[in-house]
Amino acid sequence: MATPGLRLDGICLRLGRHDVLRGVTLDCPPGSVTCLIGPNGAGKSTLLALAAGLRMPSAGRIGIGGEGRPAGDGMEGVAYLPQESRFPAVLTVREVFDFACAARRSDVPARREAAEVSGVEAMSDRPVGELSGGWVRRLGLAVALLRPASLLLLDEPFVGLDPQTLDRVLTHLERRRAGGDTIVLASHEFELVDLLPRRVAVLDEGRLRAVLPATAPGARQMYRELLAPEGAPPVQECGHGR
Amino acid sequence: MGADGAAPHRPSAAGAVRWFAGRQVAAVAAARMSVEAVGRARHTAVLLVAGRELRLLRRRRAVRGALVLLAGVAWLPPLVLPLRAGSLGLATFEESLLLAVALSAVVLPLLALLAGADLLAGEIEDRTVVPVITLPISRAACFAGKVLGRAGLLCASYSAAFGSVAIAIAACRGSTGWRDYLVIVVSGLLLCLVCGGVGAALGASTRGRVRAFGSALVVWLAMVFAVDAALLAAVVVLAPPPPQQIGTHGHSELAAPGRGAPIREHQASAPSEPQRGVSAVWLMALDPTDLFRISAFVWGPALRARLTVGLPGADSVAASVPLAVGWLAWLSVPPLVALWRFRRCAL
Repeated sequence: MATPGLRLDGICLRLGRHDVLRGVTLDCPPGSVTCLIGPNGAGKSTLLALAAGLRMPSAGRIGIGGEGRPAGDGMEGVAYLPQESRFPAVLTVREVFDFACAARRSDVPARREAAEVSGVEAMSDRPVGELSGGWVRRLGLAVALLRPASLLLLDEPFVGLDPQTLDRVLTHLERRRAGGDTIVLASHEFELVDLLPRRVAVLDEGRLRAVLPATAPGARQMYRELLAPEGAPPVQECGHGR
Repeated sequence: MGADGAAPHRPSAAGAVRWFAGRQVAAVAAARMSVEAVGRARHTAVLLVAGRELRLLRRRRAVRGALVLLAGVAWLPPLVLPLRAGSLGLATFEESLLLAVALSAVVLPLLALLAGADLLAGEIEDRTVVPVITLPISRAACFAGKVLGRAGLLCASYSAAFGSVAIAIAACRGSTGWRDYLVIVVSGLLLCLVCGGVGAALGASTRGRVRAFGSALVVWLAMVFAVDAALLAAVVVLAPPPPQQIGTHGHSELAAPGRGAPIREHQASAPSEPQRGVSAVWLMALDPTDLFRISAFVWGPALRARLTVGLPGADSVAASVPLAVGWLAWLSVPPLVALWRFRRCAL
């Protein structure tokens, strides 16, 4: 499936009196991994939620695909993993996964691949309410990694995973990137992020500080350099959405 | 230029027109196929969400309790009425009508409002709706699927409860008066759907399950008691009945056979009474529970004969227009409001 990519153009979001995002412009081309880093409250999760269509921006435009179709809910080819995966407690893992496969119209190999990466088949007959936090996370990953989605918006995808699952997930993400899929993830797991050939987008106080190429040094080092209190440039107010 | 270096083919004007027309036809066909594919995907998504909703409902204890209550509403009138005469068994359709109307008008709105309030509020609060709408399922399809699943279960349970009562009465006491009973059953089902829609709108407009249920209870109290009493007062002012027909038991006394007022023929009404009666029906269509009662009395042949107080001259044909408009409005507006709120809801 051709990879659409993601384009954020001057995205602003104002909640109450607080500017959560201030004119974020970011281009995520097909076949790239873009990692959003930044302190808590920088707007990383909100940006992903906006791209997934869960919220509408106060100003700016979100384009998905080469034709620049606007983001909204129910988009073909877009997968989203929220920071905290929630599923109805009374449904079994199999029911949740089957529902996602049917809604995404995934074929058998895609279904098998997502199940193997996440390892959820071992728990397929268990109700979600009886799963540990790590297993719910793995179920969320299984749903998000289903093909044919080609734009993956992953919020903290490595949290709560055991080392074996982490390896499988990283390998899978690299395979998806090499296949032309676009991956945008928010993570504080800098060492894991550095294992992927990723660009790094540094967010702070709702503003995009920098976008660094894949050849840039480690994410932790960049985080320290760019977001140290004495080195941080002043935040400019966004004129949109007022 | 071709790879072999030959001069490029230059099409004639007619050929160009044919080529252009062919492209247009192909584009229209592709667009139509695309629209059809999107339509199919939407239908599939709606059915998928409806199936998920049914699975969720089937495993909830509260739903089982509500279904038992629904069965109680259906079975109580024919079982209780013979006890007043000191006998066991089932009452006839005609004997059961009034109690069925009175009971349904109070209990069904409560059940449906709570069921509707939980439609979106619960999943939004639990954030379990996020994995659904971030699959290629639009919020509209998600809403439609949830409504379809919940309304389907409600209709099936309601039909089973009241259908079993109807079969039992017909088998034991004969089928006289079945049409009135059918009118009550259908009107009650419409009342359930209306209140479910109102509940869904409340659930989509409030944050959290508790607030949704609280607002549903407030609306129920208003609908069943406050607005009902206000409309009744307005109707009495608009179309005053003879003094001897005014009682203290509200609607149940309006049509109580053999209690209070004798049955009054419409011909005895003043010339302006039919218009005032229809105006009263328009007024009462503002409250779904009154809409239900008036529908039962206006469209039920046997009950219509008992309808005298407050709605003089409102025969079934004249009153059908405000009733139909009222039902259509109540059935369509609240779900649209719920969908509008859900589409604007930040998750």
